[in-house]
Amino acid sequence: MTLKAGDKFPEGVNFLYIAYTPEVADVKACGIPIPLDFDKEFGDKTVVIVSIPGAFTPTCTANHIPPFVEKFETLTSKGVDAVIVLSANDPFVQSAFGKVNGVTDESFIFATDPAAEFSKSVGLSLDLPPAFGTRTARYAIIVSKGVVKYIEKDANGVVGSGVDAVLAAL
Amino acid sequence: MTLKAGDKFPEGVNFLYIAYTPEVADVKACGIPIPLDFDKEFGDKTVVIVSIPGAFTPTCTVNHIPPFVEKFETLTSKGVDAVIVLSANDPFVQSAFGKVNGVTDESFIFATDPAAEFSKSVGLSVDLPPAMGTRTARYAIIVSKGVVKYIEKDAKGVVGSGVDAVLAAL
Repeated sequence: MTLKAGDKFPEGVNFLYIAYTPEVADVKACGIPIPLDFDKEFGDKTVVIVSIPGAFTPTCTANHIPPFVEKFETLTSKGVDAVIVLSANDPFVQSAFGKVNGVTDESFIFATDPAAEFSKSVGLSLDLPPAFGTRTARYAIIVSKGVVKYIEKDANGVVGSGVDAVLAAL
Repeated sequence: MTLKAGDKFPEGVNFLYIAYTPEVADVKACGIPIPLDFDKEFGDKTVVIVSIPGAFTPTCTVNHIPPFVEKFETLTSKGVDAVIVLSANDPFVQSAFGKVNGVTDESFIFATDPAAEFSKSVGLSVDLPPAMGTRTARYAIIVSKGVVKYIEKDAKGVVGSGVDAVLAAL
């Protein structure tokens, strides 16, 4: 991991996502992917990035993301402007994953790190061939006004990348 | 496309899938991926392979797969032993996609062509960087007792790879 607390968050980071709207509320309806320019959208905000190796996979679905959904209001009450759930899955899969997790808030975004490029650039990717390819590792980052406040990667299970650890760091 | 009607279906083709069981019926519960050995499982059967570039994407979800679900019994009444919906999405995503399409029949399988290897080997893959990578093209194949009876690829929309064209060819 080449990024640590106190570092400036890298510039020029772009993700892809499909914004939730009531028209595409049904998990089988599809929106259109658009870019998420991190600097532009969040340069002056506090954001929690939660990265998962795969949508719909056991740990991610059962243990990692639902607690962030349950405690979203606690996060926002502690100054978090947005939560971004990140994976290398394409935006259509991420959008469906957000819907099945019951998330409709525009500040709780399910986004794609295309080809895990950003995560790879900061040493936070992992290779899971053949069916999974290069994925984003399981990690959480708190970025506030462009500075990394917290960054933890989990090799096994959900510890530093879980919502309780993130809340404790806010 | 290097495979045509009348050819023997390639040997040694393996996919990955998660078998549906009531325990993992909830779209947020996860099973475990296992190999699908095409020769062993289907060497003496009639199978329809329907390939889609991506689960949860507009055409695939709205137009292509639901008609196969609706007409599954018509397919089996015409001698089809199994339908395999194939994509390069990982087995967890494919399993979730099957569930949201309401499919629970063990002969209607949502499987992964890992890294689109099989599809690439027969000229039926498509490159969609950066967020989607190499995917399986939109196509349908009818294999009966190891011989290709029908093979059609659609560059746009759902025509030769749709259920009505497949039914007409059975």
